[in-house]
Amino acid sequence: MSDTLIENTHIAARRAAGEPDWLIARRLAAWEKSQTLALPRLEKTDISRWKLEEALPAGPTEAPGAAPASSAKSAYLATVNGTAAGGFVAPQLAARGVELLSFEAALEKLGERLEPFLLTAEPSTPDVLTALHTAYADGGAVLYVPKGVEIEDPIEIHQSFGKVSSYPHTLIVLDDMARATVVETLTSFDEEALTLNAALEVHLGQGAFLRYAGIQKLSTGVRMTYPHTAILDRDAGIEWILVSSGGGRVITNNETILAGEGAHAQSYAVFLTGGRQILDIQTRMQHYASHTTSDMDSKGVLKDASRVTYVGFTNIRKYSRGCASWQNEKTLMLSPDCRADLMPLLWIDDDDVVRAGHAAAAGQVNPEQLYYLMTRGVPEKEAMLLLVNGFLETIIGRIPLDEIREEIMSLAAEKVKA
Amino acid sequence: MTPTLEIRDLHVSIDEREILSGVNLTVKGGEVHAVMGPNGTGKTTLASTLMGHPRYRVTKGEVLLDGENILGMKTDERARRGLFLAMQYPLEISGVTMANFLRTAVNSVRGEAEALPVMAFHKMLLDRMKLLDIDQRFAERYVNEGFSGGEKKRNEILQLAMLNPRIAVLDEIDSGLDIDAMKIVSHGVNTVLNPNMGVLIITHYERILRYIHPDRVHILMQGKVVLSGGPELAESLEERGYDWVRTEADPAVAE
Repeated sequence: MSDTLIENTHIAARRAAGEPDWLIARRLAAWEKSQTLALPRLEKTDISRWKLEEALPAGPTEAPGAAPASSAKSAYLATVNGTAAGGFVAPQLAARGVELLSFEAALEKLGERLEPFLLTAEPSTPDVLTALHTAYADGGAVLYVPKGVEIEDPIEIHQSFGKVSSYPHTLIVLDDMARATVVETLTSFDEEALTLNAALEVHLGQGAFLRYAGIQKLSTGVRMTYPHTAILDRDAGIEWILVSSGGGRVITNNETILAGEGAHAQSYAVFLTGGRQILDIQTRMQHYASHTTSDMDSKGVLKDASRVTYVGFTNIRKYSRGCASWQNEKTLMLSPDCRADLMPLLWIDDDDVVRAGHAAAAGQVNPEQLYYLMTRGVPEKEAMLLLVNGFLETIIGRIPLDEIREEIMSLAAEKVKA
Repeated sequence: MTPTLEIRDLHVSIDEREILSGVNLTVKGGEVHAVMGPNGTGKTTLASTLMGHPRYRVTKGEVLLDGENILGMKTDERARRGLFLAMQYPLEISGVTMANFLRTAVNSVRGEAEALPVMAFHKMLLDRMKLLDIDQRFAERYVNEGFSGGEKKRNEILQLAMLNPRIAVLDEIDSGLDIDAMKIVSHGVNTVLNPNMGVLIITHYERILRYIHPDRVHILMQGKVVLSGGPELAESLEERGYDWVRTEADPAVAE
């Protein structure tokens, strides 16, 4: 490898910086593939002019000031443009081998232990953006929880971006029977236009369980693709709590691959959009093994001229016996100019299905309800917020983390009152 | 200052059709007025117009609350100035608990400076719920969702009791109630009634006026008050029906 001339200067720079050969090989293969792949084909969102594929990796940048304070008790990592800006792992967890590191630090410290995982979780339909991400991933966070380690308190990852485009990567590995809750927050430290070609990959060993809450509140100058790919071994479980309120133009393909028998997934998605935001969310549940179950529940509140596409996709493969899946999608439209396309899709190739189905609805605020609240002295915006919170309640009420519930309520208040 | 609601020559249309054609009525604090009339004479239009429902268009006239014309104000502002409407068909609001709704409403009406602390609010709520024989658990239920007809009406009076308005308009709060529910609702109204609150009861039936005694009774027909009198007027209606009023008041309508 070291003798090969690397044409791609970004990957060459990575090798010069000392990245291991297996990673450079992975990057080169992906880069080659990217030359032949097209943009992802989305049902309703035209991304041909977003120029996501033109972003160049910036490489590490200086952190502007201190990382935000965290109340995490277990572990915390802050990054700025993908570079470590602070954090810790509680000593009792560190002693048991729990690692929470920036991308670069993880490569240095964990080296070959990352080889079976890092940048291996390909989405079911690779495209030029995912290939470029593998080629250029240049920062981010890595969490490793060894076999049998169960972590009660949420682990926090705070990633903030600004000024330059980048390719942040988050890798979460839970070995067999490990358990953890991760809260990842994405923010911007300025309003400048930039592109993020990000990716999250999750590897869950047998019987492992991850609760992942992602709070996306980037500035509206950000264009982003942020696919999530999780691969679940036998009896592993994942609970997604995905909250999107930021970003100007965002596509996110959230894919759970239920690869081992008995694996199960639950997804809660909440999206709050306003202004001219465009958000394209795909949630895919791939039932590749028998007795796997998945549920998707999503609620969105749209304002102004924002547009949301939500595709829920359940795929039950042939010979996957006794699977169960449900989808529930609802949006509340606060203005006549916003638009939501909800597409629940079911592909069932096996005839032994326990249950499968979907429900989708887009509705407006009932003006009589609004009037009723106003007759009690509640000002219109406040009344609107009550109705929005009432609409979100059925999903918020099922989210097990208090701080996330509060975060959603405050983001909703911010949107409604804006 | 004694609360006063003055309705002067009020004309109201819905979709270009005139429903109210010059209503005059004055209600003062401590007084109970009843507006009665057959179906389709504009009783609910009157109630909704007073509260500022966007569907009703005032083409002429004034509504003064404590001397100030409220017709240009939005619904929530009228409420904050002390007007209250108990509705004939209260709305269901999924996902919003009674406690949350009432606290938002009470604090909106009281204003930030006089907002009730949580504990004080809950004490007040439990107290008023007891008065209206409402189970405490209702505080955690969603607004009117799954409530029976009687529960919804009691809930309207609970809101009246919590908001303590200057002028309360009660729109057919007796419709669909059995006699026990009627007694509870009436008891609630009678308890909150005080010299600083005027009440305008809008009803089709005389029955509720046996429990909430009106000082004045007005008969609304064809968009106008055609006859006003004391409580005995309601009794005559019970005995003789509205046809009698029609004959009696026809010249007034024709005017």
